[in-house]
Amino acid sequence: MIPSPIHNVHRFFLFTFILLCASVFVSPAQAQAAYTEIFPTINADGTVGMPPGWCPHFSWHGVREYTTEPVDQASGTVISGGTSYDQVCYLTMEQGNPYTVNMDAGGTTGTPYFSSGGANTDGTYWGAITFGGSAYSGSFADSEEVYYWKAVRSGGVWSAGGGGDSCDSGDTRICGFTPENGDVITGPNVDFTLDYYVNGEDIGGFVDSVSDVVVKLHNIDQNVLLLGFLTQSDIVLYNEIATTSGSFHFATTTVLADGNYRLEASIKRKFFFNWITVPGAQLNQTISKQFIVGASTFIGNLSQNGFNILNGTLASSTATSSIALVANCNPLGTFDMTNCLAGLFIPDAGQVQTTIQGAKDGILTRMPWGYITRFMTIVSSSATTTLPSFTTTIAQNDEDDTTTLTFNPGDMMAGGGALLDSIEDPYNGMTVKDIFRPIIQLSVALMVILTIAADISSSHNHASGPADVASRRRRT
Amino acid sequence: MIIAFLFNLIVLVIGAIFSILPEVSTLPSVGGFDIDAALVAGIGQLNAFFTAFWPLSIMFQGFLVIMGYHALKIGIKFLIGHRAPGNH
Repeated sequence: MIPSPIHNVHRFFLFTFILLCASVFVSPAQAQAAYTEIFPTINADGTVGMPPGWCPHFSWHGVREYTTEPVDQASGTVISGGTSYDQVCYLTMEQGNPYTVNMDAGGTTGTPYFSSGGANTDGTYWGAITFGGSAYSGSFADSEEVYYWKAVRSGGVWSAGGGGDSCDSGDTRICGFTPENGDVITGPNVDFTLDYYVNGEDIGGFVDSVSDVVVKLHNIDQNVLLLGFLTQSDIVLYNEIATTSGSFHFATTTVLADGNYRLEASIKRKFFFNWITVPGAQLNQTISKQFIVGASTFIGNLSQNGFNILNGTLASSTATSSIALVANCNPLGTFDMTNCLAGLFIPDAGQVQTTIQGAKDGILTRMPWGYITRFMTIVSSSATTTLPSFTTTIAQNDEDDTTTLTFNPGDMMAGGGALLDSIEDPYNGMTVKDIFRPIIQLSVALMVILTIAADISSSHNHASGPADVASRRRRT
Repeated sequence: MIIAFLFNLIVLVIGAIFSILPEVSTLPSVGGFDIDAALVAGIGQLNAFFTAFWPLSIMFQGFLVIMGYHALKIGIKFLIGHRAPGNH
């Protein structure tokens, strides 16, 4: 009997589904440190030596103290916006333990010193380290992003704490990453950095939604042949599941052959074992940049230049919307063919957002599918509701002798979870959660796959199928 | 601008057609039982449970995957009828 095409299609579909599930479940999670670990040394004279580049955002972020009235930490004078002044890195320190810190940042040795201090919200204290010398000066507006990198001293050893407020204003999550767009790097060693911010609201939810941060590296030369999904040119530089909020920094160096490359950084809210991206989540952001290592190639340049020309055209215009760009279509005014066409055919982000919002408001909220939309809105919410407590009074020997028992399931579950998080293996420093979470995940994943596989196998049991029914009819 | 106009026009036309349908802001109450409030409270309590105790969230994710598989099967059966897998 020749199997019908639909038969093969459904087999292929189900087989693909199983493969997808398996690939999701068994892919090993790449544990990465959330911060760049720094381990300063205590010098013989009692000073603390910091490794080169310990303040990783120094050159890129313009690390500095931010106040409404910028203060030159070297001179102590208040500076109006736009004037050069020293940049600072922040170092968390224990109260009453001021240390002189010698460091080499950005390849130029400054004369840093603690110039001020204060209390952090987590109970630790910080001290501002000021770099002297013009090598660290720069002009910044008052709205410049703030970033500080803190380290905590414990038992004479300093370790990394956490980042500060680098880009937690507004909806921006990916603060930036390098190489910058259009960079030409000598190679073969290429440095990559990524800075991103995870809000507390981004984490949690009944499906344990987390922010999955992925940085992928595409080789344009191969992907431009429209077979990108089949090539093995994608390199995942960083795949981190954010479980805590705050600022994060990632840096690595990779050897790359000459050519044109596209770098993509994305941060997404996921569920189903980080398999499916929650559509429409505000967190979802993707940024692409393109750069050249060594000598570029013809095909790579074709693709990269098209991308860069478009970006360059839009970036060079002072217009902030495609409507404003269309002003370039006026033949009696400042006519510009490129900007005119870009304004006519490329919708800006505001217009796209308006259209999507219009579709949500005008279509998806209507009955009957509006019930599904409302259901999905409720289900995808990460808001928590306090679990109800149960209290009962038990009479003892007489009516005046009673005992009140209160059962709080929230506290009980939280206590259990905290216990699993706090019990630590003294040898490798891993908690019970670190050890058993992968095992539980694997067990659940295997049970799910077996359940689905059993269901698929049973669907091929034709004992009660049409042929069997026909044979039974013949017998009767 | 032209592309945005076309998109908006499509959304406008479809929205105008569906505007005759009532808008849904909350799930209905059935026999005095407020499904919307119950679901909001229930999901919130599930969130509290799973946030506090992570093993439960893993098991619940497995449950959701199986439910998604069955929903997929129902969807395929709805679309292609008796030719769907398992309906020989």
